Amino acid sequence: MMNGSSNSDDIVVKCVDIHKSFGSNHVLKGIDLQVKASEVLCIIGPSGSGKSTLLRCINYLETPDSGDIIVHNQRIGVYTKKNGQRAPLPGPELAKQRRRLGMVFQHFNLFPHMTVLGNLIEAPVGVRGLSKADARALARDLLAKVGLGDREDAYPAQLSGGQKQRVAIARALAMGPEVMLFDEPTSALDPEIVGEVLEVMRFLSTEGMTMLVVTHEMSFVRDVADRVVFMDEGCVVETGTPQEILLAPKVARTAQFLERLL
Amino acid sequence: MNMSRAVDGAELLVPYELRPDRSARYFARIVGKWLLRLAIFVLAIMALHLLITSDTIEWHVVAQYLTAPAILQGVITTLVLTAIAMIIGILLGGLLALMRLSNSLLLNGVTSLYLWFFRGTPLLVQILFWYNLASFIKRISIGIPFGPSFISWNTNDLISPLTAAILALGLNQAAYMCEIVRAGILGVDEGQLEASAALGMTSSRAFRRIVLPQAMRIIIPPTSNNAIGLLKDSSLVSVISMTELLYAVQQVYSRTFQTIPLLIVASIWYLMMTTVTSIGQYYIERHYGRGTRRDQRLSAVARITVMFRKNLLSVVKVG
Repeated sequence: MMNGSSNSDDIVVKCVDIHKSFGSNHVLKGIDLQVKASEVLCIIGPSGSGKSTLLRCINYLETPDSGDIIVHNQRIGVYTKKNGQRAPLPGPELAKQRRRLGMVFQHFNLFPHMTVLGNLIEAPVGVRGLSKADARALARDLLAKVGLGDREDAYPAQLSGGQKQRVAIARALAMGPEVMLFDEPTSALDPEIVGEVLEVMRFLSTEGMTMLVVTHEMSFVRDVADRVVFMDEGCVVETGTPQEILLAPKVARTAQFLERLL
Repeated sequence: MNMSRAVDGAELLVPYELRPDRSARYFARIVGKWLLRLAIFVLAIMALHLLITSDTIEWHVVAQYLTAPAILQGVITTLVLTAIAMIIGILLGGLLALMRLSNSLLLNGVTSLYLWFFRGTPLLVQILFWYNLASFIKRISIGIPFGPSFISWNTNDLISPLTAAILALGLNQAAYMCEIVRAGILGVDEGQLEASAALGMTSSRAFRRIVLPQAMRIIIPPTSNNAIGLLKDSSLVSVISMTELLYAVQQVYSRTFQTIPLLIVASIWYLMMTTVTSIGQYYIERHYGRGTRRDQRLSAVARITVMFRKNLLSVVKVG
C-alpha cells in the first residue's frame, strides 16, 4: 500500500495455515497469505504447485482440511458452535458468503442456455434480490465496461474466447464482490486474444478492485501486480514486489522457474 | 497478380482444367444409379398395387371403422393411458434419478433394487402381475405397520384393468426414465455447478436454474423415444382386457373376421399418434437447444420449404 502501515482493517483476505490433501497427495502445506484492500496479488508457480487449489479454497469450492480463510474479519465456510467447537457452515450460509467473492474460471463456465444479459442478471436477480430492471441496467453498465455493450443478446456459443471471458468477468462483477479471484483467466485463450482480457483486468485494478490472480502471464504480473507470490509444491516459496521476484529472486527455485518460462 | 511465375512449384497455381469424365467406370456408375432407381420405383408400384387391389384389405372396411366410435374410444384410451403412465414415469423416474445421484447408500440401494426388478422382468409379465395382485395381496390398508389400520380396501376393488395398466406401464417407464434423467444430469459440465456456487447460488437454485435446463437438452430425445415406445407398448395391456386401441380393434374383428382391415385401422392410428409425438419432440428440442448453435435454426416447416425449393430448382435444371 501507499503508506507502509497496514492495520487489520486494510486486510481483505487472510489465509492462515491452509492445508489441503487429495488422498495421499498433500497439495497445500500450510499457506499463509494476506491481501490488502485494492491490492493486486499475483500467484505464480509451476503447474501442480497448488496455486489453483489455494484460490478455490478461498471461496470454498474446495474445502480446506485445516486452517482459516478470513474475508473482512469473517471466517469463510466454518462457524464456532456455542460449545466452542468448529462446524462447517450450512450450504445457504456459505452461499451468502460466496457472494462477496467474485470468481473467474479458466474455462469461463458461462451458462450456455442463457444470453449474455441472462448470464449477467441471473445471480443478481435470483440471489442478490435486485429487481430485473435494476439488474439489467447494472449488467449493461458492466458490459459496456468490458467492451461488449453490443453483444447482450448473443449466446455464449456465438462469442469468441476472449469475449466469453470478458462476459464472465462482468458476470462476477455484477454481484458486487469485495474481492475478485482469477483462476488462470487467459490460459484457455489464443495468444492474440489474451491481451483484451488482461486489458479489462488492468482496468479493474485502476478502479481499485482487490484482486487475487493465478496466472502465467508475466507481462501482466510485471505491469499490474502490487505483490507476487511464488508457490511450489504446496508452499509459498517467496513473496515480494514484481521487481523483487521477477528480476532478483532470492530463492533458487524461483529463479529456475522464471528461467524456464523465458 | 502473375503468381504462377513468381513462386517455386508455381505450376500448382495453373487453373485446373475440368474435363468431362468419359471413362467406363463413370458410365457404369450412371447406369447403376438409374437401375437402382428403377428397381425401387418398380417395388414401390408393386407395393401400392398390392395395397390397392388386394381383396383381403378391403379399404371400404378400413374407411368404415377408421372413425367408428368404438375405435375412437380406443384411441382416446390409448392416449390417456400413455399420458398418465408417462407422467408417472417422468416424475417417479426423476425422483429415482435424484436418489441414485445422492450420496446416501440406502437411497442408492433402493433405486438399484427398483431398476433391477423393473428392467429385469418383461413388461408383459409385470402387466399380468399387477392385474393379478389381488390373489397375492388380499387387502390394501392405510394404518400403522403391523398394527391397526384406518382405511382398508379389497384389492380386487382397487385393481381394475385400468389401474393395473397404469401401474404396470408407469412403474416400468419410471425405471427407464431414471437412467435417462441421471445421464442428463451427469452430462452437464461440472464447471456449471462451480460457477453457480461461486455466484452465491444455493445448490437447489443452481440445480433448478442452471443444471436442469441444460440436462433437458440431453434428456428430451431419449424421453420422446420412450414416449413413442410406451404408446406402442400400451397395446400389451389388451391381454388384461383393457379396452385401448388394439383391444377395441380385436373386439371388432373377433366378431366380423375382418382381421387385416382392422389391424390396418389400428396401424394408421398408431402411426398418426407417433407422428404427432415426433413433431412435438422436434419443437421441444428446439426450445431446449437454445444457445447450442452459432446460427439460429430454421423451423421444420421453413426447412422443408427450402428443401423443396432447392430440389424443384435442380429438377427444373436437369429437365
